[in-house]
Amino acid sequence: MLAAEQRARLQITAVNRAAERAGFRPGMTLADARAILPGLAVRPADPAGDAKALARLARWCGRYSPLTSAEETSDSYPGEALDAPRIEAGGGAGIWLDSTGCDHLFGGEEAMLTDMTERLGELGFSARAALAGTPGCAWAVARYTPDRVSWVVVPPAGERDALSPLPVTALGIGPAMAAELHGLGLKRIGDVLALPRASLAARFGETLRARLDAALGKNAAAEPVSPFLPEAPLAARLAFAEPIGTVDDIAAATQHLLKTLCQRLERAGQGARQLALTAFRPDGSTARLVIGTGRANRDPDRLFLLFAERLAEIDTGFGIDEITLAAIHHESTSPAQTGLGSERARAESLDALIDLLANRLGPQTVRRPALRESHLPERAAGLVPSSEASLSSADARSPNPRPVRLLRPPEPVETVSEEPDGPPHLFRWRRVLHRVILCEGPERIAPEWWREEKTEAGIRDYFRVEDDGGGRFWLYREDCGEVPRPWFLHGLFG
Amino acid sequence: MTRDIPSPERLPSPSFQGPKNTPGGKDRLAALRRRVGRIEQGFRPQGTRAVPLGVQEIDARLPAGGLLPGALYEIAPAAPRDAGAATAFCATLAARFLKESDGALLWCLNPAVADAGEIYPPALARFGIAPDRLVALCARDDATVLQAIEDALASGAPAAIVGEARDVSLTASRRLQLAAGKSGVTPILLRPYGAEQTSSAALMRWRVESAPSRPRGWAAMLDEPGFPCWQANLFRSRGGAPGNWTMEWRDETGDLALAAPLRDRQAETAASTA
Repeated sequence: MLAAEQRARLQITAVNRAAERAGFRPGMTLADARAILPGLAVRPADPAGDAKALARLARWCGRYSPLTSAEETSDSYPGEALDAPRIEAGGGAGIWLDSTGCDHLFGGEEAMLTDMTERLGELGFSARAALAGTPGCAWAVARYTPDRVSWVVVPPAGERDALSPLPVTALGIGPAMAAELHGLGLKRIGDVLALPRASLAARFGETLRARLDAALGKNAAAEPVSPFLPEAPLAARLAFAEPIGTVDDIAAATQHLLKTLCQRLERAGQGARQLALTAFRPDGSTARLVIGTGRANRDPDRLFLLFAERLAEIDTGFGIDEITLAAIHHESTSPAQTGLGSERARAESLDALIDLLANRLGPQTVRRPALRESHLPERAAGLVPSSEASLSSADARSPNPRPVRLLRPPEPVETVSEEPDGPPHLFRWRRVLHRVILCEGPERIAPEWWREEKTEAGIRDYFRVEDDGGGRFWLYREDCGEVPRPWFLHGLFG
Repeated sequence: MTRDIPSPERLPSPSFQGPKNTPGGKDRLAALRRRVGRIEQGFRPQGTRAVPLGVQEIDARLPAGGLLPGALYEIAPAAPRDAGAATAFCATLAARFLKESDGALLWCLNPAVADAGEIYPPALARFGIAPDRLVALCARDDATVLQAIEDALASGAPAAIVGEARDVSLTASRRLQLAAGKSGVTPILLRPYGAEQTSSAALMRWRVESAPSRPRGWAAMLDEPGFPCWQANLFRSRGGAPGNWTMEWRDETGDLALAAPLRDRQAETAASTA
């Protein structure tokens, strides 16, 4: 069950079926619940997360109807109603769907509801669905029908019959009025309906009568479902009366589209990370051009520069009928600050340069150093594509000098050295013989056994050697099972 | 020329005194100097302060008193095994320009040229290039590298650019020099051993060779290599004299210095064992 803090006590906000059968209800304090059953499984309630999930689920229900909306959990706090006579729980989250004209697509109202509840069951939700002519009736029937039924369809003009057996709270009138009605012996909606309407208004006010009318469909001003509006896709489209063929025309069209799209991006507070330009030819084929930027960007001039280089790649064929430009990947950005000084301008022009080079040569070609906490030199530092690079806190300077050029992979060298562990005296690299004069080492670097990847690497003994001409090299001897152990050149020092 | 060409009898006599001593002559000379200066402007950036290399003796010999930003430099190793030395020297030069400005360093790698591995960021950090200011471009051929350098110069974003290219024609080097002068960004070309030595419009051309290191203290006792030493041969310096220096990189100061003369190790060991 879920618990949340309400009025400085931890109260239960939701229980599962087993807990409900055992007698726990939302509104009990956690302390009481624990006293009854010490081994309770409790998790903290997350209303914000629930709201988000509900919104997503409401969007998922868009497969059944274009107009859907999520309803927050029911109004009454279960805690407040604890003192009143026990009212059947009708809480829980809800989703509204306006199914006008949608049910025939699923083979009828019953089939649609069956499909919906089954799919929701597969998603892991226990759901109850009700379809009625008025929102009030549907709400009441969905929340207050007995558990065993997973969906109910109220036939047209059958609202009165459907509502009569339901308890009074199913009208959504609030616990105070429901308690009042209970006190007068009016437990079901049918009892209330039996009373004359005029006296209802006099005794209980307009709310009850308005709710009844809305539920029965007498009130023409029905409560509308305020649906989620689908987000307008960030795209712009330009169609031509005559097919265009030259690169200049395409460039002009692209500039126009970029202006429109960037305005839309600005209104939405977004910046583009990836843009796709699609050109449609009269025979139905398309040509597509995708550019990406390192940072979210909505400057039409900069984006046009990135397109300009690649526009010649578009094969115009018999001409181009229509061009669309869509932001397939966008991120929210803050409004651009201008005039903060040359530092920001320089950083922006560096971004622009990186974008230009990355779009021309490929995103893998522009790289930044990545430092990792590792002993193995080839892992400790390397160049990774700039989209993946984030400078970790690993310190760049290692305690021992490292070569300014690292060979990937290390090259085998023939060496004359003392066995089994001695330093090298002579070595041949790329057919040139080097005589070692000065040598520092060994520095033992072992493979990292704690990493999951199995590597063939063995323990390495590194030597920093200098030859008679002054060349400085980083040699190592690897222990990988061969005898005698092989020598490799890993890098050149400055 | 608005004046008429003088007729033969009005040509000046052989004892022509020269522009300095004629009344309007000084102005004409000054104007002529300005014109030549404007023509040369493409080859030498005006109004920029020289960046000191850090070694007083070398700086004194350089025409501007140091390294000029916004000009083209060229570094090549003297032998294949000196690739590391050339790279390290290139890194120290680039670090000097990075110190004076706050841009990034764009290093255009070209495996076909370097043939000695990839640059290793922690070692570059030792020579003064912080990893967060380094952007590397993995190019495949010279044309890509030169085009990338030109784009970077045009954008003006980096503080310095290192490009590894094998063949750079005179025209290409002139274009780079002009673009560098306009934007103030310094391109440094790192060429491999064995590239054709064509003439170039670079401001300075260096040839770097590894020199034996001078170990001191513990390193001397244990026969370990000392600090990196290079024999840097400035064989072409526009507007200045060439020179040849043996320099040493000192880790403790993060600076270059002229290397002490090499002691004769063999003579020493012979003397000590005798």
